[in-house]
Amino acid sequence: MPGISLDNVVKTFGTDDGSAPAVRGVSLAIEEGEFVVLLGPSGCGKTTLLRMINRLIEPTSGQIFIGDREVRDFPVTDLRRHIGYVIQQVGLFPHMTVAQNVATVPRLLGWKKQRTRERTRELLELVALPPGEYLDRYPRQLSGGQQQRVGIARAMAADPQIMLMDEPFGAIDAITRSDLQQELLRIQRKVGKTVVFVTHDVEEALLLADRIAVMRTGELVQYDTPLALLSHPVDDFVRELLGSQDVLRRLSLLEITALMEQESGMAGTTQVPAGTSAREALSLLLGTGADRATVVDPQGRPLGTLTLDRILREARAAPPAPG
Amino acid sequence: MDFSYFSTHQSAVLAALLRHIEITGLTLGIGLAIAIPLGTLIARVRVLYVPILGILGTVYTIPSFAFIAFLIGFVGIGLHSALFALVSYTQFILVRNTAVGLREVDPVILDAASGMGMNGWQRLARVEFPLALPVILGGLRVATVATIAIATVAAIDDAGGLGQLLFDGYNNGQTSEIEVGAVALVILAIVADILLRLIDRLLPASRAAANR
Repeated sequence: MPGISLDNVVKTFGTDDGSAPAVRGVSLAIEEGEFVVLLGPSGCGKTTLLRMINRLIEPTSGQIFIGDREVRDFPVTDLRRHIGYVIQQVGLFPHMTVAQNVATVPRLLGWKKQRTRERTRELLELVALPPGEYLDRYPRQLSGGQQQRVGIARAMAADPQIMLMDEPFGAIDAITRSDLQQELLRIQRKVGKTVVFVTHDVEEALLLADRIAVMRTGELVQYDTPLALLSHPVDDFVRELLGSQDVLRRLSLLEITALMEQESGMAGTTQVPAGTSAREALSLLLGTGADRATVVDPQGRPLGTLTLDRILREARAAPPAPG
Repeated sequence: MDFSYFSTHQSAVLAALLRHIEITGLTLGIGLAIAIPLGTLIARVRVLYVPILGILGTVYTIPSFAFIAFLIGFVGIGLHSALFALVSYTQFILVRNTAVGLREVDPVILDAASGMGMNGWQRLARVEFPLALPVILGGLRVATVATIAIATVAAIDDAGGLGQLLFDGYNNGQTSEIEVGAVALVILAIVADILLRLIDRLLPASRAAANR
């Protein structure tokens, strides 16, 4: 199955000559099974670029191919039914249950009821929502994170080879977001889709991407692996975009046992397993409002205490961005 | 109050009631058949929204008695002219609520529907209408009660219905006949409203909203 290639894609909104193009001649090749993140500040054209792949927006000029066929060669509804689509605001149908939402594309494709039912259960299990509990719920009865899990299940229902994800975790709180990112990585390892994922969150891009396409004002600035972007940014824009997150990135590389104190006289009520990164521990503490957590080994035995203060001191001690 | 007319003319009262229900049902059926396509159209084609609702709003303000009397001159006496007037009155509310209900659907939901490969009709039938339905039904409730009331005037058109009891009672000095007709009208309106509220509760969109 196919990768995606974009050839000199341009999109100009409006017809007057004065309007600046939203996307200015982007060429990009995405391999089959690759997880590519489109990264850039808001207004850089990354969402426009994404939406041109499933033709929710038609390019002004240039071509987009899936495999060796141009997207315009497919009937538009056919094309979209075979591309998973996940958006930030989720967009679940509020009048349908979780099961009905997930079954949307199978129903459009005319699947047999039995097959749809089995697939729906399988997908809910994949996104860690026990089917027995969630099949008959309405979207309003779910938390934001749960809704997006359903959104992902719905997008994957007909087993599309390509998934387009437009800031899917952008409106979700930090802790849940981190869970969902890990979950998405796990799912991706299992199913190996070709994923195009839009975000403005550098951490998220570094965590998820095989390759990152950095965009600015409608242009592709650099397209490379996370490591290559960090070590060889092509210009100051890329350097600053990635460097501004230096502190947090440093914390995500730090394992918490390095920061904990052995004396357990003032144990925290929150527990974190050894092996957790300082970044995650920070999110957890800030999220729960606790000022300390107990670090525990895999058997649940306390190893020591980690304070919020210690993490923040470590963060401040982090060296400034290189270069 | 004096309900003696009811005990002496049970079958006449029942016939008038059934006729009234028939006129109301016909009016609402024809009314919806026109209003839903028209409302959908003006929800899509924005330039039509204000002029169409302006015209229907003007019709809505014409006094019913005058309108029906006026129509008799053109359409002739009978059910046709009564229905013409009654259907005209329902249009403002039904068309407006259809258009408003459709326009209130969250664009994000429409984007998701299109992005998953629904064509225009599928999106309308599976997403937009079900979500607009509580608003449309709200309009139908108002239109139903209004139609039941205005349909009494249809009696001047010789169309029958409970209005006949009111007019005949007045002409014959039969107070009891008027009172029986009036009470039947009130009961009919209340029952119709309750029924439509029950239907509203069964709609998927309403049930989803009630579940929290």
